[in-house]
Amino acid sequence: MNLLRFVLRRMVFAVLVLASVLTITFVLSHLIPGDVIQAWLGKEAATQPKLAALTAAKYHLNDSIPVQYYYYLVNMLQGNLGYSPSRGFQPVTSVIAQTLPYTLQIVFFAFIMTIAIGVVLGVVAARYNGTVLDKGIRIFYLGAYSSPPYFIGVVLLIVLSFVLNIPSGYAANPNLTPPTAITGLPIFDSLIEGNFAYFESGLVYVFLPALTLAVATFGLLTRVARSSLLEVMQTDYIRTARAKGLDEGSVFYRHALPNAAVSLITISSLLVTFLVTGTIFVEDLFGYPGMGLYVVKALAGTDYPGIMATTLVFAIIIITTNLAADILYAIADPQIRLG
Amino acid sequence: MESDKTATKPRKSGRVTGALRALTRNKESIFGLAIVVSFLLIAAVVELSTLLNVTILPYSPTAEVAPGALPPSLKYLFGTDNLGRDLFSRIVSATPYDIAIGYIVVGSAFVIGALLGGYAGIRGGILDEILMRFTDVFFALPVLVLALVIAAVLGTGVTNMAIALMIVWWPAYARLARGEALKVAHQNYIEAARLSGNGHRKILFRHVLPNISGTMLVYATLDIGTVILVYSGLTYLGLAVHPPTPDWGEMVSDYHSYILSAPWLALFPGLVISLGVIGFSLLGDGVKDAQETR
Amino acid sequence: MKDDDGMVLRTVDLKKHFRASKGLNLSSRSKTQVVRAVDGVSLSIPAGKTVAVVGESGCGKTTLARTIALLTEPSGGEIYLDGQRIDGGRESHREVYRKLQMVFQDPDSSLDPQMKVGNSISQPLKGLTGMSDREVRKAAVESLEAVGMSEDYFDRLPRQLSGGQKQRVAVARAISTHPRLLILDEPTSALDASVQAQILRLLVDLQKKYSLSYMLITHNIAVAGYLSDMMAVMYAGNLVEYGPCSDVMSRPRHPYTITLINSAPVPDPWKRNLLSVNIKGEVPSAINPPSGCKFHPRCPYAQAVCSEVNPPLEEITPGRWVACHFVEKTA
Ligand SMILES: Nc1ncnc2c1ncn2[C@@H]1O[C@H](COP(=O)(O)OP(=O)(O)OP(=O)(O)O)[C@@H](O)[C@H]1O
Ligand code: SF4
Ligand SMILES: [Mg+2]
Repeated sequence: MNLLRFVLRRMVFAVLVLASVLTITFVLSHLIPGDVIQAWLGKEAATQPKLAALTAAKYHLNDSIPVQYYYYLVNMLQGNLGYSPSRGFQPVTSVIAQTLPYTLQIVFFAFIMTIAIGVVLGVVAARYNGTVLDKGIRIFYLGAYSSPPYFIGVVLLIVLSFVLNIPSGYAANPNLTPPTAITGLPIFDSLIEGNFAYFESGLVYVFLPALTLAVATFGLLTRVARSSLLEVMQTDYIRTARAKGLDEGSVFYRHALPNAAVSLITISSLLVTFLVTGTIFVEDLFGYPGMGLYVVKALAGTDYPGIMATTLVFAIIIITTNLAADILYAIADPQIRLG
Repeated sequence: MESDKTATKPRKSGRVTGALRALTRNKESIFGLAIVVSFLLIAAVVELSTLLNVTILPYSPTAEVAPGALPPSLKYLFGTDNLGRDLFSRIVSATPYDIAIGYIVVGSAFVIGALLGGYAGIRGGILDEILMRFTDVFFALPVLVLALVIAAVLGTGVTNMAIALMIVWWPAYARLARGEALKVAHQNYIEAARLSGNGHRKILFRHVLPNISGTMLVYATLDIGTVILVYSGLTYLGLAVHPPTPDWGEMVSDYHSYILSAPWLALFPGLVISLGVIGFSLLGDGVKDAQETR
Repeated sequence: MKDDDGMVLRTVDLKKHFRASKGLNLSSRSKTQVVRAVDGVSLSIPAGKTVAVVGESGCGKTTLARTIALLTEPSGGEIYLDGQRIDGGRESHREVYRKLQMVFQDPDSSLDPQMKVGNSISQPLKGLTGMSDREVRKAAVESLEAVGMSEDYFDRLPRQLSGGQKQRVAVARAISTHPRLLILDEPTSALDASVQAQILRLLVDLQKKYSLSYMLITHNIAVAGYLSDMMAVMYAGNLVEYGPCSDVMSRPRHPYTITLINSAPVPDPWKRNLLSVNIKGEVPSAINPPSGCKFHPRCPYAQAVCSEVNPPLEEITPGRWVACHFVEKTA
């Protein structure tokens, strides 16, 4: 009952935040220099008189601000996000539909790699606390975490370029037949379909961008994993386990590790924020055709609808993961629900 | 007069020297301090030489001095780029801007955050609620994405990027200041100040700000590296500076097509960013430890 | 306690309730609970005298003091200072604070760690009087000397002082504008016994010198006895007994006061802390106080009526006020 109340409260809050984001983008669309129509069609709005008239009617651009705001919200909720000048005036929604799956693929694989690298290094550092190994890991994660993702990508490209030579602009070998959409994420669809050639190629193409992001992010996790493990090792609970005669290794892996895991949930939303933001750079660097690459092109071409829409999608991803992390944490650690 | 065991003699050495001593006990923070001081020195010297019109760089950052991309050598410390410009001179000459942006953004976020957050903390009520809900929204969004949107509206350029960063940066400071101010607000000296006829504004400036600025400064030290990192991301995307003006992030972006033929070109500016960020975070960690152990 | 003749302070049915929930609570706003910290207190303080306010921890003493000092808005009732009504913004706070000052319990938190001693003492002078900087300095030094400290301390910071010295500075700040009434909220409870005695002696001296009136909040029976003319006993936000200090201590009449004074006699009266007295039963919650007389769940004399009707504070013999239905039984 308590949990349900908590979940509901967090959901209401998430909706409120999303509403605020919509309001912010609405306000910004009116602050864009020039005519409001440019917010919907970009600088070249004048070249598209038909589309301009259509857009003005749809968003009630000749009405008062409150009316515009109302139709803005209605259109946003219906998925009408304007037309993208940097993509030949396609509806932004269909551009997002094309690019979002690729971004989610990167984030998915990067998330798994981040957890793998981050937890393993954190556990090793805690287990061998104070040794050269611990210090080496600290230098590694400090360096990686302090470096911009695009620079990590450059380093990885230099180191691994001879192994992987991939043409820019694709998410898999362009000569292969892409799978039909089932989940929407091509790598998984190809696996379901049994299209192993595409599956393998998709993995190869996503590897470097995902690894780059993971290297740029894992430091967050290692740091928290290490310190929370060391903290758990000091508790009475672990002392008791030790007193029972368990050897240090099994005390560590059987008892300390599961206990420290809860604290990792707290930073998972921060991790996702990092990864999602990072896709902008790695997609640009590796020419991976996701939403990040789209927003970079949109920025260069003053494609306002594209920029606003991608912001909105990024916000939705992050707000949802925050919500999920909050709920997961409340389930794992019932005490916080009261707060 | 009562016997006085707990009282200490007035100390000549202030808290600054004490903090410095605590700081230099840790090897990592010495390293961080060294990096930060060198970056600041380089930035100051470069800026001064531009003002005084003195040449201190080996080459002009925009002059094409070599036939093309040359690897690092004694003559060209970091090598030369595809246009034959000296990479070392380009990297060094970009220092003042990148460091200054860090300080300007953090400085303004500090001031705005301390004033708004501090006031909301002692004032409470509806004003406090509004500020907190407002910052909640900022917290739900990554700073980079927000900065990108604002950048799109404002247009590109160093000043506009600095403004975009300031807009997204202050809420964190407002949150911090508000939390610290709440702690201070429960102290009896605040009530004593009210009994002296002082209003919220006077109490904010006389009591709250002096007492919360220590904690906020620690956070700010840690934060400058983050600003440099995010700003380098904006320049990487070509939103801040335009060629041929040298900038670290922009250089990595510019040179990344030469990764195979001239890998040093993208490596050196990237390394400089990492080094700067590491310096500030090590120093920040050290300052935090020094403050906690005091 | 009707007219203000000779009364420096008079409160009438003063109330302070807090809302227990913090901030905007999206789902549980309907369940907002009310803490009745001060629940109808009528108290008078004669000019030049000391009234002790005693009671268990959490019974609302500090809240009563803060409400009287207008540091928090009263939820109901009236406050008169020198016959003038001061609550509800009727009189400017600066006017009020020239006559009323306060000394807090914790010397560490009553001085701003970043502010020099001299500036702390000068604060009321600067904020409440129109003195020039030179006059302020002179008056502040006088104040500092009045509490037994020299001008040398003017430029020190609080962390260079001992606990007793900090409390002296806090007293110096409070008396610097020569107020009529000082509210002392457990002024010595954070200090060592020897230092405590010195501060109490100082307070007696200052009262004579500046003809001050004191409202003294304390846990300590001996402190109350040493300093006070009158004693007010508080229980769960209400006054339950009021009268001359020696009378109340030697012949308590309210069942709560009786338990307090008579239980656990400690050899050294200076260590007789009301906090340490064990009365069986729970301290009542200020959120859901018991109905009727709030003391009834713990009272040995309680009858059926006690759980229904809250007894008013009544004058049982001249000068003695008690709030109990069966006060005759305790005679
Ligand atoms: N700002 C506030 N908000 C909510 N409740 C409060 C507030 N201040 C005090 N209370 C509550 O009011 C009641 C009385 O508190 P108060 O501090 O006045 O007691 P006290 O008699 O001074 O106790 P002590 O002897 O421990 O100092 C307590 O239950 C307390 O929790
Ligand atoms: S009124 Fe009743 S319960 Fe209250 S003190 Fe008197 S006898 Fe006890
Ligand atoms: Mg109190």
